Parts: sequence; C-alpha cells; structure tokens
Amino acid sequence: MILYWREPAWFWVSLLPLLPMLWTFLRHRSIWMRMVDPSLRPWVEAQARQGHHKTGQVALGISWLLLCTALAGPRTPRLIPPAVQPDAAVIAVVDLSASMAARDVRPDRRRHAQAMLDDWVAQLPASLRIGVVVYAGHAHRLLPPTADQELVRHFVRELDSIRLPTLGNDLGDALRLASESLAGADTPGGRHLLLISDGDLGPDAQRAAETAVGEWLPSARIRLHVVGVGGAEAVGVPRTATEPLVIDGERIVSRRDARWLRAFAGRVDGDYHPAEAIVGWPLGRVLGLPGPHIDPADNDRVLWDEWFGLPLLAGIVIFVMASSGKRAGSGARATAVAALIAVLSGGCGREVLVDASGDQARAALDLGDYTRARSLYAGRDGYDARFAEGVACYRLADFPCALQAFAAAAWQAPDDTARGRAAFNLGNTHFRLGDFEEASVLFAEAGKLGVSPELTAINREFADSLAATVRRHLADVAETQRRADWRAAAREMPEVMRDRLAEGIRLSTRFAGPAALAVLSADELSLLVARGIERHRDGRGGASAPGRHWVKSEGTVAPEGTAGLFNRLLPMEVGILSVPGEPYRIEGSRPW
Amino acid sequence: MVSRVLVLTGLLLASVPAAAAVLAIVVDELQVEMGKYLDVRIVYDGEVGVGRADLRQWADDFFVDRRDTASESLVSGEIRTTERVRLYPRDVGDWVLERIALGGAVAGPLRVEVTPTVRDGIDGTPRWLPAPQQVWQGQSFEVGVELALLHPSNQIAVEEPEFAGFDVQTLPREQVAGPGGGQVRLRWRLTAREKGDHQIAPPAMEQRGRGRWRFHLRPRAVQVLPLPSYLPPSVPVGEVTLHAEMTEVEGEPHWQVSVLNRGQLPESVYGMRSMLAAAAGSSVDAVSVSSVELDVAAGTSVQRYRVPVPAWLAGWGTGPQLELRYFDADQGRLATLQARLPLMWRVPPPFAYVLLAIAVVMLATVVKILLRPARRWLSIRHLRRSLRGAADVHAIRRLLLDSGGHVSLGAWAAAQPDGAAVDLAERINAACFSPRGSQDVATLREALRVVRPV
Repeated sequence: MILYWREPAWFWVSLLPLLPMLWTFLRHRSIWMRMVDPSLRPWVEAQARQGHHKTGQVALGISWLLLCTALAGPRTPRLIPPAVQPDAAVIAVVDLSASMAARDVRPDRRRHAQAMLDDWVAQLPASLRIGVVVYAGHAHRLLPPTADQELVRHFVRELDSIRLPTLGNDLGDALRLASESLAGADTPGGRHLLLISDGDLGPDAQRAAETAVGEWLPSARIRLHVVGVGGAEAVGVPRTATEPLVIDGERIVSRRDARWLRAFAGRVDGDYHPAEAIVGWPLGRVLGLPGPHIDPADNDRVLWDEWFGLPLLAGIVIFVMASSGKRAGSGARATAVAALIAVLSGGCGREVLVDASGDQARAALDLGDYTRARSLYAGRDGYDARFAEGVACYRLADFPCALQAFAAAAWQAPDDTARGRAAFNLGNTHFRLGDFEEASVLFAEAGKLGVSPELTAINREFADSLAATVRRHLADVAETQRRADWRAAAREMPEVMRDRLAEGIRLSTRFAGPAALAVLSADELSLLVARGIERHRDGRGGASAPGRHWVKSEGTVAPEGTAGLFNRLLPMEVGILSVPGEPYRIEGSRPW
Repeated sequence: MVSRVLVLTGLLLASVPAAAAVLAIVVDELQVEMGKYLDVRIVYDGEVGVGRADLRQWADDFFVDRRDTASESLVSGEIRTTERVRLYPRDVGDWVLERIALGGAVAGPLRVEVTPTVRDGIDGTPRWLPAPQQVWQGQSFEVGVELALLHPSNQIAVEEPEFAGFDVQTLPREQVAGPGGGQVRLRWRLTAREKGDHQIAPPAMEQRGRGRWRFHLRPRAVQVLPLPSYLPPSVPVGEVTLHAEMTEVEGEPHWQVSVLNRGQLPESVYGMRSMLAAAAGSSVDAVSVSSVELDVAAGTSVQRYRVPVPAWLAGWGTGPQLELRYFDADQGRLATLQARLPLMWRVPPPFAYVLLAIAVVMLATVVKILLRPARRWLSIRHLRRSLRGAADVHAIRRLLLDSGGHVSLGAWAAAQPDGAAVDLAERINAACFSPRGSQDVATLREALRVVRPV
C-alpha cells in the first residue's frame, strides 16, 4: 500500500523550530563571549546547562514533527478510477481435478481456491481485466478477460457447481488456452497468468506442463504466478461428500506439491505463493503489479482513506505530556485530552471490527439457530469449534458437513475424553448415513475413550444389527438371483423363445462360426436379450435409433444456471455428446 | 472303493417330461483323494445345443477346473453337448455335488467321499496355519499353509498368490524336519486393503516327485474392520516405533528420523514432514523422505526422514520433541509416540571464527590478569625459601636488600607495609654490624617468615 500526501509542502514547516534554535544559540554565544573569558567558558557553560530539561525539548520536537505530518495529510487510495492506472489482463487457471476435492484446507481445496478468487475479484482494480480457464482431463475457457467485476464474480461463484466431463490434469492444455486468450489482449499494464493448483498432477502431466509453459508463455510475454492450495501432508481424496476415492483398491491420497509448483514457476521466472501466505493480499500484490502513479491533477478522482488523525492524536498527546512536565496527573490529563480530540475529530474514519464471534456462536447454538452457529463456527479453528460445528450440522441434518467437522474434531482432540465424544458423534453421523460398520467401530472406540459404556453399547448393538440386516439382505438378493438362474436353467425353453434363439443363431456368423454360440447357454443368451431390452428401454441404445420423437410435456424444470449450462456444453467441447453421470477417465492419464 | 464304475445319474429324468432334454453327470469314481481330481462329464442331450452349466453351487467344496466342451449330433436328431470338468476337493470328508440345471434338464445330486493324502503313514494333506479372523484395514498379518512331503525327493510348487482385497508378500518357506520329507510351511504376509468380509484362498499348490497332487484349499473368512473415519489415510497402522538420530549427509549434519512399522507404511507418514520442518525452522520442502524399505523376513517397513540441522543450535537442554500418531491395531485405537531430536553445538563458520577470536582475546586477558599475581607469588615464595636457607645474618641482609633493590635495610623496612619491619631491620643491622650483635639466626628467620619482596 503506497502512502500519498495531501499537502506535502507542510513538511517544510517542520523545519521552522530550527530558526529560533539557531537564533537562541547565537544570542547565548555572544552573551557568553561578553561575560566570560574564553578559557573559562567550558566550566561556566557546564554549570549553566545543568538547569536545562533536554527530554522536554526532544518531546516537543517530536510533537511538532507529528503535527506537521498530520498537516501534510497522509492518505491511501481506496478506489482508483481506471483512467488513472494502466490496463492489465490476467487469466486465472483453476485446477478442478479430483485431487482439489481434498479437505486439508477448509472447506476443501476447490472451494478454497474459489473463495480466494472471489475475494480478489471483490476488490479488483477496474484497470485489471480477468478471465477464467478451468482444467481437469481437458482445459475449458469459461470467461475471456473482462473488466466486468460482476460478471467475473458470477462465474467464480459458479465454479463449485461446474463438473468437468473428464478426469485428469491437463495443465499443459490449460496453459495453451490461457495464453491464447491473453494473446489478443491489448494491455500496456502487462499480461499475467494466475495458476491456482495443488500441483498434484502426476509425473506425465507435470512434464507436459513444463514443456507447455516454456512453449507458450515467454513468446506471448505472459508472466506466471502460481498459488499453491492444500496442505503439506498427504490426505485422502474424497469421491463424494461421504466416500473416499478408491482406485484399484487403493485409497487415493494427495498433498500440495509445493516443490514442483515453485520449480514450475521458476522455469519462466514466475513467482510462487503458498495460499496461506497471501491471505488478505489484493490481487495486484499477488501479481506484482506496480502501484498506480496518481498525478496530483487526478487527486479529486480518487477515493481516499485519510490517516491524518493518527499523527495528530500522537502529536497532541506528546505535546501535553511534554508541556506538563513531571507534574502529577499529567499523563491522565493528556490521555483525556487525546480522547476528547479523537471523539471530536471523528478519528480517521477507519472502521474497527470487534471480534465477538465466539460468544455469538455459542449463543446461536444454545438458542437453536444452527445455521448461524454453523456459519460462525466455520470461521474458527480448534477442537471446540469443529465439535460445535459438527453439532450444528448434525442438527441441520447436513450429515456430510457433520462428518467432516466431527472427524476434524476427533483428530484435533486434546485428550482421550474429547476424542471419545467426537468419535461417538461421528459414529452417529455414519449411522445416519447408513454406514453401519464404520459407526460400530467408532462406537466401540468411543467406549474405550470414556463415553458411557451403556450408551455406546446400545448404539453399537443397533449399528451391528442393522449392518447384519443389510448383509443378510444382500445375501438374500444374491441367493434369490442364483435360484432364479437355476430355475430358469431347469425349465424347458418356451417355443417362442426358441424362435428368437433360432433368429439369434444367425448372429453366430459374426463370431466366426457356430462354435462361438455353442459356448453360450440358453440362460446367457436370454440374459443378453434381457440386457438389450433394458438398454433399449433406458434410451442408452444410441441416439441414432430411428423413430424417436420428442414428446411435449407440460412439466417444467427449474433453470440450471450458468454452471448447469456449462455442465451440458463442456462435454460437447471434448466430443462427448451426452452429459456423463460421472466424469470419464482418459486412457493413460491419472484420474485424480 | 468304487473303481471304474460308470455312474450315470439319470435319477432326475423322472422329473422332466419324456420328450424333454436329458442332463447327466458322469463320473468315474465317487471317491477321491485330496490332491487328485474327480473327472466329471456333464452331458446334455436336447434339441438344441447349450452352453455351460452353472456350477457355482459346487465351488464351495470343490475347485472347478472347466476343461473342453464338445457338441455332436445324435442319430435321433438331438444334439449332445458334453463338457469335461475336473473337481479338486477343498477338504477331507463327505461332500455333495448339488443338483445342477441346464437347458430345461436337471441332474444330481451326488455324494462324494474325499480321503486324506496318505502315503507310508504320512498325511500330506495341507492345512491352514492359525490366522486372525478379524483384522483392521491397513493391518498386516500372516497366513500360511503346512503340508508334509510324502517323500524326501518331493517338491512343492506354488502358483502366484492372489488374495483379492489384500496386498501380498510371499515369505520364505520354512522346512521342518519330520518323517518322510518333513513339513513345509508356506507363508504370506497380507495387508488388508479393503474393508468388509473377505474369503482368502491360498494359491494352488502342487506336490511333485513320487506322485503328483494339486491342492486347492477351502477359503477362510476374514473380516476387515474399517479404520475410524477421522484418521487420515497416511496414518500408519500396526506396531510403530520412532527413532531420532543425528547423521551426516555430504558433510552437513542432518536430523534423521526413522519410522519403523510391523506392517506397511504410507508414502509419507501424516504430520512427520511438518513437524521436522518446524523443528528445523525450515520449509516442508527441505525435508527429504526416503522410499519405504521392506524387510520381508522380519515383516517390517522402514522409512527415513531427513532435514538439515539449523545453522544455529545450542547443545544443551533437550531437543525438539516429535510426536507421531498411529493406529495401534492391537489396542484398536489411536496411539501417540514421542521422540526427541538429538542436539549438538552448531554455529555458522564466520560466526564461529568471530567467537574463536573473542575467546582468544578473553583468554589472553585472563592470562594477563593472572600473570602479575602469579609472578608476585613466585617471587615471595622464592624469597622466603632463600631466607630459610640463608647461612648467616649477612646472607639474610643481602637477600632482603636484593629483593627490592634497596640501598639499605632502612629503605627495605620503609617499603614494607608492616611497621614491625623497622624493628626487624634494626635487629639485622645490629647482628651484622654491632660488636655486641649476637642475634639468633633462627629467630630472625622466624620473624622473616611472612616477609614479602617490595
């Protein structure tokens, strides 16, 4: 933040005390010369100086300097109109791969990145145009650079709802897309690429990105800034709000690869910032944009924060204390005067926030205002906050939120008793989500950690009973299926089915002879037919099926918003003609 | 013993219409030894060809090895489909081949007797070694099979093990002396990866040599309990120990922390990098993590974390404390380990040189301060010793005059802080120069006992 001065000429006034000091010095000198022999002067002057109070003079001098500073009018710009500063463009490249769902930062990496962008856009200088590119398995341009803050904020707030159609980490493609977006921007203030990622790309994607960054950015004179999101320790990557991501039996973990991100930025002389180190920074500082040079002629066009009150207040306090000398009560009087002046002058117009969220959160929880309690506790750290947040989420039946909060509380618990309470509530949450085995384990642990044995025994018994019921039900389904297969195999084939099979036998030519069909039982064939019928009924048989018509419906559906629109459009961009229920894996690419 | 008896199970023909298809299970014998197989033919006669029968209900008691399928047209116009199947018994006892159905026909059941593999009084039937039935997700445990060699020249061949839902390490096989070829123990260390109820089956084993037996044992049930969901995935599970030491890497002192687990270790133990970085006052990136080293025989995994020691480090007191959390599989709960990093004196070289220079100056000052009293003490000691050894009073006088370069004993006495020296000087002068002087030298020596050179 650069400090500006309303009237810097007032600093010259601070030199005024030098004139009377010089005059006094010369006058004393001439008096001494008349009165005392030069050889005796040191002894005479030393005696005379003992009566002076140097401290008081210094205090008066400081007070004078502060008052002159107040007159010069220190201030900082709050809002600088676009005409006052040069135009710059930035593309925010946001990693939306599966690893960004990890919850080592609150609430998760993806939403943390979104919140950072939202904050930056909220105080975006009007001279800065910003665009958005997102990537996972493919890169997609959501927004070209624009100075429309509201539009950018709207897109940033939709980021959380956007589902990319493919899994992976194609950062190289995102860099290409971003540099192409910036290439056409006429920006005397410079072109910037702001990458927000956890750096957990996998070796192949990292190599591809390293190649791409050297290929695309220097030639377009784009400066790279990398913001690393996530923690230093490996945490599990969730697949859904309640389920971990497990691939080939392995629970996938992820951590921020700060070393690679720093090296990656360094390849093109860019800079790297861990997200936690730039909290509260404006975007201009992150991008290293030079402070705007405000011409005095433009002073009236800028909205200022005035800071003259601080030196004025300090100057008056020091002046009163210095002029009162060592008299009793001078300090109290000075404080009273300063307070009076502060009240009369209205301070310096600075808003002061009082943090009393702890009491408010507790009160909200006690009063049953769980939504407010959750919101207040979410902004605080520590076991108590996580536990209370979990309680609020549980009461609101937001079980994924409760799961996350109680799990964090159990991990952060200061002692076994606290961990037991969190584990017990975590067990209850799992129970409500239908994960009875996990609930049983947590109830058992809570019992070991000091929660009432009767309570844990009842809950555990209930959970075990339900888990057994689920297992039995699944076993019954499998057994029923087996018996049905057996009965189907034991029954004579209906004539009509034989005809169908006879027709089907003609298909054998496609399998290189009748031998292929010989290995298929009637049941297997009938199963294939049944699957075909099912597929046809679900409309998964292909859009090219003839005779399909759109049937007019009276029903209406709620508008899907920008994210919904993108969720339909982005698959088409990569050649997927339907909206996938789950993102597609890309052959040879890491899916998280 | 039923030998070479063709058992045609047309028992169920009555249950199907006369014109309907016919299914038969044809076996040569109804008794089989463990390690051998039942050669079964499933014969289907019908108007159309059929596929393979569903034999899932046999799979609990027998390993089903499907061989070839053949079709032929009968004179009656029907098609006969024959499938050959080998059934390896999983356990000793009486077992039932349940009824099977295919293409509208039903066959079975058949009772089969499975006998143990005994030769020369040696039972070569493999048996499971004791193993836990309930483990935690991520916990490592051993399973094994023991079988006796029926002849010293026999060998055991084992297929590649596959335990679905578990990571597998094959452990060295053990040979235990005994009758015949002795006992062979085949062991595997499993680490539970997926929670839930699992059936683990050892790989197929063959005893070859004097005879050939192929064993497919019955699977065992293992319940894998889920870990408490609040644990990060990189928290180790098992029996963990922590050891901190000082080591040198390329001439630079490093703190090295070794995490040892009886089981598997994650790629990086949760919290260890951050703690070491905080202790060393460096970034997390400065902490190097070795790959996990496995000791297959001991069943342990070791991982080492290293970070450079801070440039400034004082060697006294206690070192920074490390805390590692792991899931104790025996206790079934989260446990905490603590270790302290060792200390050493460490100062950056330029500062070390400055400190050395300051120390030298201080030492020189101290020496200089101490040198003067030391010399003084030595001279006093020398004078007193000389006075004690003086032969006569003249020698005493000479020593006193030389001790301070005095011209007379009066001058010597004036320089002495003690007023008694004047009297002493007169007594010495009298002894030396007065004709009446008969001062006792011993008395003078006693009086001069505390004299100092001035």
